[in-house]
Amino acid sequence: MTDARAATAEPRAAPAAIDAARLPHVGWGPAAAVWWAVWSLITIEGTVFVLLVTVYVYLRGIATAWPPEGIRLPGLAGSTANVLLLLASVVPTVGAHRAALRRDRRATTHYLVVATVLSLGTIALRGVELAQLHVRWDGHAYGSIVWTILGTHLSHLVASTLEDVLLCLLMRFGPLEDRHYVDVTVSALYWYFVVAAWIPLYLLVYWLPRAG
Amino acid sequence: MVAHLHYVLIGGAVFPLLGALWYWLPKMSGRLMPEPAGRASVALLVAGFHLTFFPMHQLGLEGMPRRVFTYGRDTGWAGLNLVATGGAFVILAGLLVYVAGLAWGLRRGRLAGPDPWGADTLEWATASPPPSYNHAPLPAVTSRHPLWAPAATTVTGIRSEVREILVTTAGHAAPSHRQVLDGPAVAPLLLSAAVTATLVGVVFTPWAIVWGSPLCFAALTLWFWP
Repeated sequence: MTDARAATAEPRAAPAAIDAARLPHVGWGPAAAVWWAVWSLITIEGTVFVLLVTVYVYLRGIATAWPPEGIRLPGLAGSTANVLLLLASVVPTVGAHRAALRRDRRATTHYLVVATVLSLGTIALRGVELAQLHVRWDGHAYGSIVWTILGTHLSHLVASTLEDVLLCLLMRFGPLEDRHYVDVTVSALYWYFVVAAWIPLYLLVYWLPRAG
Repeated sequence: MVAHLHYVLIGGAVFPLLGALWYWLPKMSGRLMPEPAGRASVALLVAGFHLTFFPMHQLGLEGMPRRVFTYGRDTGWAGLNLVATGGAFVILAGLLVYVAGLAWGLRRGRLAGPDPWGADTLEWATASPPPSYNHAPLPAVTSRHPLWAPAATTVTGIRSEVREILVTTAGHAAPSHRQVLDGPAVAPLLLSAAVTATLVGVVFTPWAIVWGSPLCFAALTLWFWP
């Protein structure tokens, strides 16, 4: 076969090289590996939330009373305040996202600090929410699923906040490279997901029982 | 049932595996497998395969269930089962020829050279067996048959003194940027240890989450920090 190929193949012309030396050292958006990583994480965790919703609706469907007799409805004050705070936190996150895209260290740092403070506030308010559930996690299947939903989402709030704290410290004190701005943009992407995922969960946990 | 299953599994998975090994071993080992053994094993395997499993279609139609070790003389299944048993020995012979061919080829086969098949794909552009860096310089692929294309384009400008790789766009594979990969580091090992300790810990107590997650976070931070 080697002979047959040698007879038919064109003589190879001198290769026209692609010069990669001029290419940048970072890729943004879909060109960055972390962008795919964060979207994969969002896909996985989004599926977890869908499963939690399914479990909640299933348990509610086979229960005689929801919440069970003697358990008050979950409190609206802390939870609604937290939804508003979560929505507000998107504003500085978008600010940090945009500042990172233009590699503005000062603006990125400022927006990140505000976003971090707000996300710390959402964690504190989540504590209030848990106290206003009026049920223990081991008291009833109802208690288990609402604690699991709030707790799973809380773990995302904590993870994202810790990430923000790290990025703040890096922006302020660290030896900064361009790829860290990419980290800020995908970290913002993750926070949008954490906020967006909470809206249906909030309606489910706090309003579905009230709708009857 | 048994007939259909084996037609699918052997035809769909075993034959391709045997063929692929024969095809790519010259790239891995640098030596060609002996052609006569290849042809003989294909003939024996294909013939033995049909001899073994084709009669089972008919046996199934005649009502023979699977996984029985014996059956009555009056069923009339003996002839076809004898053929199937004979076929199994033909398969065995084919496999023995195949393995013997491999053993011979790996030791004494003709030197393969980079592209013994006149193939079209990139692995055949480099030496057999390939050097650790695979290609020097990096080839750029502009066609589905890069080795049959009239001219090969290459990529230059990737540094070799650091761990630098070329990243391309996902859809069109256009050069996007050069990513510098991290060197050897202890943080990934620490993270693995922290995750392992946490997961083993939760088997015994839920409090492992409480002390385990800060450990994991510390290792991640160490990894992340420039």
